[in-house]
Amino acid sequence: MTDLLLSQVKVGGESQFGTDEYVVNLGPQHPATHGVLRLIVKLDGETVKETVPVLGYLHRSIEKICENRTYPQCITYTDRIDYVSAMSVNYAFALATEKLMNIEAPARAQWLRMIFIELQRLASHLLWMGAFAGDIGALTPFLYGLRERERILDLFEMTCGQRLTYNYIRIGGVMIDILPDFVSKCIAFLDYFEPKIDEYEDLLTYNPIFLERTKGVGVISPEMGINAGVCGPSLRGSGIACDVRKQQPYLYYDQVKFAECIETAGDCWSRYKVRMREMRESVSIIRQSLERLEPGPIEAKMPPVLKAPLNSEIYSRIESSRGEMGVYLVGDGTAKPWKAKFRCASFSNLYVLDQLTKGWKVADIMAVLGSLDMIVPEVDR
Amino acid sequence: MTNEELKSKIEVDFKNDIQTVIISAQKEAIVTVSPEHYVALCQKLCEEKEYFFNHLSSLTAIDFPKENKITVVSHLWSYKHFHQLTIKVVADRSNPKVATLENIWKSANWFEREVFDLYGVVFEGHSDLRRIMMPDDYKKFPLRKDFADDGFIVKPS
Repeated sequence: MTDLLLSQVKVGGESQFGTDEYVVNLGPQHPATHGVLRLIVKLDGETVKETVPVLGYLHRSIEKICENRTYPQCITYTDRIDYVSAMSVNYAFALATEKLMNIEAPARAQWLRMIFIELQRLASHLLWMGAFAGDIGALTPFLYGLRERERILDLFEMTCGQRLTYNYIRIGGVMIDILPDFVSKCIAFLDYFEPKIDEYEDLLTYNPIFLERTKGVGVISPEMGINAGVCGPSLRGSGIACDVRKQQPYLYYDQVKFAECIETAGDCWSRYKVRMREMRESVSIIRQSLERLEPGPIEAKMPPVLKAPLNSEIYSRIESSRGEMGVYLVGDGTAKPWKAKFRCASFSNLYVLDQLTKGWKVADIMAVLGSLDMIVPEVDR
Repeated sequence: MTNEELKSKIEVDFKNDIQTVIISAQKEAIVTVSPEHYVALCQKLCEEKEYFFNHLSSLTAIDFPKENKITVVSHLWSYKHFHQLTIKVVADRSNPKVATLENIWKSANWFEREVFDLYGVVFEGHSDLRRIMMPDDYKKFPLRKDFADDGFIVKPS
C-alpha cells in the first residue's frame, strides 16, 4: 500500500496528489531583512519561484524634504539615507553642491574627507560582514566585526561628537579639524586592525559550511549585472571594473595607490571576497592620506548664503560603501534646490533579487540578500 | 570621449532625432530629445560601439508647474569609455506619458516605477507599472510641486 502511494508521488508536482504553490510573507519585521523590508516569496515546496520585494516602509521622502531646505540644511538629512555609511552620503551631497556652485574645498579638508570616508567604508564593511555571516547562521563574526567597528566609531566620536549620523562633511570643507592626537590614534588603530582582517578570513573564507552556503549561489552574470543596474562591490564580484573612484576620480583618489578589487565568479562568495579585499585597500588609502595630511584651512571661503545659479544642474557620482551613489541637483537661483535626487546603490541592487533567487531554496534568499549589502533606508529614502 | 567630443558627435549622428544638445555650465553634455525619437536614440546610444552607454545610472523627473511640463531625465554612463550623458525628454504635465526604457536597460524598471509613483508619469510599454514607495491605493503624487499645498510639508521659518 505504501509503495503504491509513493509511486504516485513524483517530484515536480505532476502526481495526482500534486504540490500547491504557496506564498510566504517574509518581514517587514525580520532580523535578516536588515530593516523593514518585506518580501513576498512564492514557494514550490522549499524552492523559490518568485520573490517580490515590497518597498516603502521606510519612505520618508527625503527628496521632497530637501526641496524645502537650504543646501547646508540638506546635509543633515543625507545622514539618514544610509546610516551605516553616513560619511559617504554626506560627501556625495557636498560634492554635488560644490560642483553646482563652483566651490573648491582646501587640500586639508579633502584629505580629511578621504580618511573619514575610507574609515566609514571599513566600518560599513565590518557591519556587513557580521550581518551577512549572521544571516546564514554564523553568529561569531558579528561580534568580531562590531568589536573593531567600535574603535572606528570612537575615532569619529572624538572628531565630531557623533557615532552614527555625523553631519561632519559640509559644503566647502569639514565641520571641525581633527584633534592633535587623532593621527597617532588612527595609525594605532590601523596597525591593530590589519591583522584582524586575516582573523576574519580564518573564520569565514574557507570555512566549509560558509563555502557550502555561498559558493555558486546567486550568480550575477556580467551582462545581466550591468543591464539590471547592479553596481559597486556586487558588480565587481562578477568581474566588471566599475569603481567610480577609478573611472571618475573625485577627491584625491587619483593621487593614492590602490587596487580595484575584482572577482570573476559572480556568486555570493565572490561578493564576500571583494569586500574583504576592499578593506585592505581602504587601510592602504587611509595610511597614504594620513601621510599627505598637511596643516591648512579646513573650509573654503563661501558666500554667507549659498545659492545655486538659475537653471543649473549637476549629476555627480561617488563610490559609497555599497556602490555607486549619485546625487542629481537642479538649482533655480534660490538657496533651496528645485530638485534633489539620490541614486542609491541598494535600490538598484535589490532589483535583481528576484532573478538571483529563482530556483534556489528559501534559505538561500538570506544568503543572496546579505551578499548584496542592502540598507533599507537607502532603498526607500 | 570628452563631453565636447560627445556633443559634436551626437550633433552629427543624431541630427534629426534630437532637439538640442548642450554643454551645461557644469560641463555636462545634455541632450534633449523629442518623445517620438526617445527610445530609438537610447537604443542606439546603448548599442553603438563609439557610445556604448551600457549603464543607466539614474532615471528621474523634474516638475515645472509654471511651464506645465514634467521632464524625465536619465543619466547614462559607459563602463567602457568612461563618459557620461544626460538625456531629457519633456512630457505634458496634465497627462504625462513617456515610452519606457525597460527593454534597453532592465534597471529602468524600478526607476520608472519610482517616477510613476512620485510624479505620476505613465511609462508606456512598462511591464509592471505599480506604485513602489507609496501604498497601492494612494491617489496623489508626492514629488509634484503642488503637493506641498496639501499641508503636508512644514516650511522652515
